[in-house]
Amino acid sequence: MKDRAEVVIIGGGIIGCSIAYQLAKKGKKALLLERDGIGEGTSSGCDGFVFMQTKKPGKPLELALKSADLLAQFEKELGADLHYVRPGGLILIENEELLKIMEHVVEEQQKQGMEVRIISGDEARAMEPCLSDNIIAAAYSDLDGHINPIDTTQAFARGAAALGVEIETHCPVTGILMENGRVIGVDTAKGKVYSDTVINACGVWAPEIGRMVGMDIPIRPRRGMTLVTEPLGPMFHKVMLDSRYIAIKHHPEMAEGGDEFLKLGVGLSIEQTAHGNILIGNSRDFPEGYDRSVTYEVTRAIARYASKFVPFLQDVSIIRTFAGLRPYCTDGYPIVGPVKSVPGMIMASGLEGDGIALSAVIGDIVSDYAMDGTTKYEVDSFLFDRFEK
Amino acid sequence: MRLENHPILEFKRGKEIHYRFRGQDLVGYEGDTVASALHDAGVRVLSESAAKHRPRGLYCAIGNCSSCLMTVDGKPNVRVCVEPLKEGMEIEPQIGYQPYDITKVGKYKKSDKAGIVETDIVVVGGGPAGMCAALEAASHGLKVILAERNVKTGGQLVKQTHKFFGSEKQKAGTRGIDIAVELQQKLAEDPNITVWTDTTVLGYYPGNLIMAEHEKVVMGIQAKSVIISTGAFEKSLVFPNNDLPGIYGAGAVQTLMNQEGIKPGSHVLMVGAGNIGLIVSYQLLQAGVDVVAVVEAAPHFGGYEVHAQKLRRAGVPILTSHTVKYAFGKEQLEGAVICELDEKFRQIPGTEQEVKVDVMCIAVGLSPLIEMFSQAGCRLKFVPELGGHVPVIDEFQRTTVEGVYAAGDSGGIEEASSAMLTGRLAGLQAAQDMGACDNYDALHADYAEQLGLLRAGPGAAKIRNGLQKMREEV
Repeated sequence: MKDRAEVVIIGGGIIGCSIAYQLAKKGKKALLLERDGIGEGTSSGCDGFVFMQTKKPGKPLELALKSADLLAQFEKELGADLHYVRPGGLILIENEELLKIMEHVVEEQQKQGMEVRIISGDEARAMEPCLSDNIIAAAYSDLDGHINPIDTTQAFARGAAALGVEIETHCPVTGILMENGRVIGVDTAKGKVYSDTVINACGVWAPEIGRMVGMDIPIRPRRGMTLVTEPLGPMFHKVMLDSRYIAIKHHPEMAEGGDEFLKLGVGLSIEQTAHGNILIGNSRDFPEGYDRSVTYEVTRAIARYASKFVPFLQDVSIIRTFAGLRPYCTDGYPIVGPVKSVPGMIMASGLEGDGIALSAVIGDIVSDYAMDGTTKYEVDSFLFDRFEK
Repeated sequence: MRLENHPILEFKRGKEIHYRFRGQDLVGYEGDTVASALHDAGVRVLSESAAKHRPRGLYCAIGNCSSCLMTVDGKPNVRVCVEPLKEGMEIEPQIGYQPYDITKVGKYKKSDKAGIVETDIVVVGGGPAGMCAALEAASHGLKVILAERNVKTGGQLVKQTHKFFGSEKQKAGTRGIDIAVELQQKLAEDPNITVWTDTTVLGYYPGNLIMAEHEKVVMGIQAKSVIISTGAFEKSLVFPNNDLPGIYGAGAVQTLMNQEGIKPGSHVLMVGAGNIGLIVSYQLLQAGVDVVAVVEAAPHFGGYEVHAQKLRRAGVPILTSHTVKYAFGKEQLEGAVICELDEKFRQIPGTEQEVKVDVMCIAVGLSPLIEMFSQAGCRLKFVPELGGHVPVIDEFQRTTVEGVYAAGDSGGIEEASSAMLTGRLAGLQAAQDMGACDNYDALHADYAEQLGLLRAGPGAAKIRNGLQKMREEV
């Protein structure tokens, strides 16, 4: 491993690999350091949603739309089949109370110029005949899609390597080298590397790197569990979520005194992969430490909850379950950009459940910063400085 | 074709069952699986593979592999080798991955029967090891749930028509099929044992919580200890066209012939001359099927001499230092080319011989089914002498995870008599570790001695080496 690099990226997940690739395209060859293997953490413990409707109106939605277009462009230029499709997405609505809230959410999104609309239960069933009769309406947008997150991460890494990026896997960073209050490199299990720019793209593990330079990064691992079914012929055409999680985002009081599913943090997400397996999710909880195991209660609840929306699923065999950790940032926004108090350090973490969808645009933003210290996007609100006031 | 006259077995056909295959009306009998009924009707090509659309037939016949997936009553991916035939069934071949016919399935029914049941011990797998483990643990007053994936217990015993070896205590001189019946009766009579058949264990969760699908309903079993006796699956052999219908694992041929009473074909090439290969060859002769030859890659066959003698007397050649070069056939097996091997197991050009067979039976060993040990976090080790990856277990059948025990082939490939004893040992140890045993020392000494005798002979040297290797780091 070389002892000097223009830029050091810590973290070989989808964010780190996207940054490495786009930075190389702009002319700087980074050294990418990964403690395990490429994409072995959060980027392979998740679904493949590139969902627009779930993004907060405003900056996050604007960036997500940009990112979705970039992903399509990268799939072409990387020459890899990432199974990226945009068949449209449904947010399923079960009752009048949820419908009212979703009507309001959709109105706000429409004001931003987003193509989204409320459709009836029958219209939803015409799109997806497997849906239960209990669904009274849905929010629908043509813009939603999904991608294979593992292949995408690997493709970014391969694309970066082809442009001369050096990737060092199984190489944990053990310290950050500082001189006169600024970053001058990193210390690793394989030796020291000097660099003026170090990017922290460690996701849920970003706080560990932060602590090395006295940063208190408010990211916590938030676990999500997913069930994988036997492979089937085409059953679903769209990607799907239920409306309750979104309603709660807008009306937190709805979460109180909820049913067993709410208590366990269980919601609905469904996508069918190109291989025919159906991924059924999902859940939210804060485990002990970095515990990535699945639990009996939650996996069972996910299966039961999904069967309410899609009855035939109760006859389908689950062949696997897995859990991943989302980098949850306490204020709900990612931490992206240079850190004023630690010159030389750039943050690129805390995207919670949006990391796959936003990977392309975050890579663009962070590679801008690493090139010129600034970016064409207006994303000052994502800076770490907001926690230092 | 069905077997009518058999020197040992008597096949009592149940009532007629009418079903449809590709729109054609066919008749089977109660007690048939879908696969055995189709075999009787001459249907051996069951489906097409997903990617290359190659013909697929039965391979393992015990629900382990995915070679026999078909669409039954609108439901794809049904393992027809273990699916009981029912009146009015509509059976279709599966071309790659098929969607569900949601007009036929999926009426949402609330199943609040599903909860968590508590027990002292759960035994996963109702073969000889699991049955003995359950009986032993229950004899010390512990409540036991025995979970078995198939519709009945007995595992591979239910097709062993040969008489067992060993001493009287290990049922020497008794046929496997009769041992199975005896153990099934004892299980049924024991008030401490609940036998759950048609129960697939889905997962192990920390604290010995088991998720299982019991009669199509997902249930939890909270146990104090878990005994894993999931058995083994048949190894495959690599040669061109090894996926043609008509090429079976040896156990599948036994299942068809000895359990379902179906003749697997007319002319058989047996691959592998260990005990299983030799015994199944002889059973094929008993069923009136021609065994063309037994080929064995090693320069010496691995099975007992007595089994080999029976074959030689019947004129079946046992060709050592031979292997299958390739198989051929359009939709299903029509023949194979065999050839000789040199001392380094390389094929010798010019030694090829063509054999016309419609059945090839692969008996090249077994691999332990270790998924559950892995999921429970038990330490695993690769020990080829024991069949591949095995859980690291001590002489008391304990794995490296507290409260998780191994019994039978899932802990290392031996034979049925040893499996029954490791089952006894596991049940006994689980009871002892829970403080439920009064007479542990005497029982343990007895079982350990019997097991020691089974493992003492020259034929068991491989197992002894394997056990030593497996325990090196314990």
